[in-house]
Amino acid sequence: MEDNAIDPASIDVLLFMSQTADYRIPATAPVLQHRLGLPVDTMAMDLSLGCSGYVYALSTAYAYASMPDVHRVLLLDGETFSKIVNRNDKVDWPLYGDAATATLIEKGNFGESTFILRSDGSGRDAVIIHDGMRNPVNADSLVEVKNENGDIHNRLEIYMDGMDVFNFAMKRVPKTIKEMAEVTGMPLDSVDWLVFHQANRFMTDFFVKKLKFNPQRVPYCIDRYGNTSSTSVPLTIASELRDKMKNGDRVIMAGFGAGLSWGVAAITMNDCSISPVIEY
Amino acid sequence: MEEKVLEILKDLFELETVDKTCSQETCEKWDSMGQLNLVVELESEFDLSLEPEEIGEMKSFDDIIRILKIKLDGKSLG
Repeated sequence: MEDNAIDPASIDVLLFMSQTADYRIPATAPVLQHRLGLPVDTMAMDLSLGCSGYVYALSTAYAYASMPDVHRVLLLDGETFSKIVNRNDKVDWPLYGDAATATLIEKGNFGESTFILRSDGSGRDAVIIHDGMRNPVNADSLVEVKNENGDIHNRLEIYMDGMDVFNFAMKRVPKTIKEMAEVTGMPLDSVDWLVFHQANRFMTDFFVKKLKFNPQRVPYCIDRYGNTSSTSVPLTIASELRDKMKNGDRVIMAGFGAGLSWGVAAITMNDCSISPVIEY
Repeated sequence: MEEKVLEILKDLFELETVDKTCSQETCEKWDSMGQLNLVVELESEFDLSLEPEEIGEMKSFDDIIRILKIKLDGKSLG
């Protein structure tokens, strides 16, 4: 907000997307409203999804920004997976990173944006923290389980079946990107940037090859920040495209993960200002 | 076709023995990288191009045969 001289009082809606919220109660968004000095007439609420989360949250922000009397929506997306991955887990610990991003969406004449948002809860167990409310936390929740792959977790830490997620992404993501090209009438070779959730570069490079998309137009930051769950799409834009994005660039974003849940967005970047990444 | 697929699975996943029950569940080395290498081998051997959604369904020997038959039938018709 400082970079763009945004008056906190001008924020009408605050959305916070996370699966690692500060507390179970209250939601984090009202806490952030207070900490950021936003007025009490700010509508503030949490959203919760995994690696598809940013695309979903952006669609929510756009929906609110299209309402009368809503001019600015602040979308904060933050994940601290280091707190929910077992440090001895040889599969997941090296993979995940922590990150947070802030996106300000303003009402304006920015052209059409299209979202395709999908869900398949039959894959619930592919990425899961087992204990919570449905399975209440007890002493057994802290007992570590180790499998033959070197995957160690207790029932309050994240478990991922890598092949289930891989098969899901393979089956759903490229097809939904093709569907986006058909729905919008926008051939993929007219898209300036294709931004994937940063999960597995071998896999998304394979998608790029199968989609016959220009690999030079597919940014990655997984080598530096790892898989930062729902923040990875906006983090990739901030870290890789800050100096490359031009006014009017067409961007396709693809998020996919726990749920199972996936979303693809086609956005035109008009009057878009990107602040530098701050590393801690 | 079945013999050739078994041979690919055996070589790729460094198996001492292989049979038609081979699947992602039973084969330790059949991970995501293994799957992509498997696709390269199958596409080269059978001179076809597999779609990502087909690859996402190839979780076992039986799945591979089912999908290859559909692809090769379509190819001969085409």
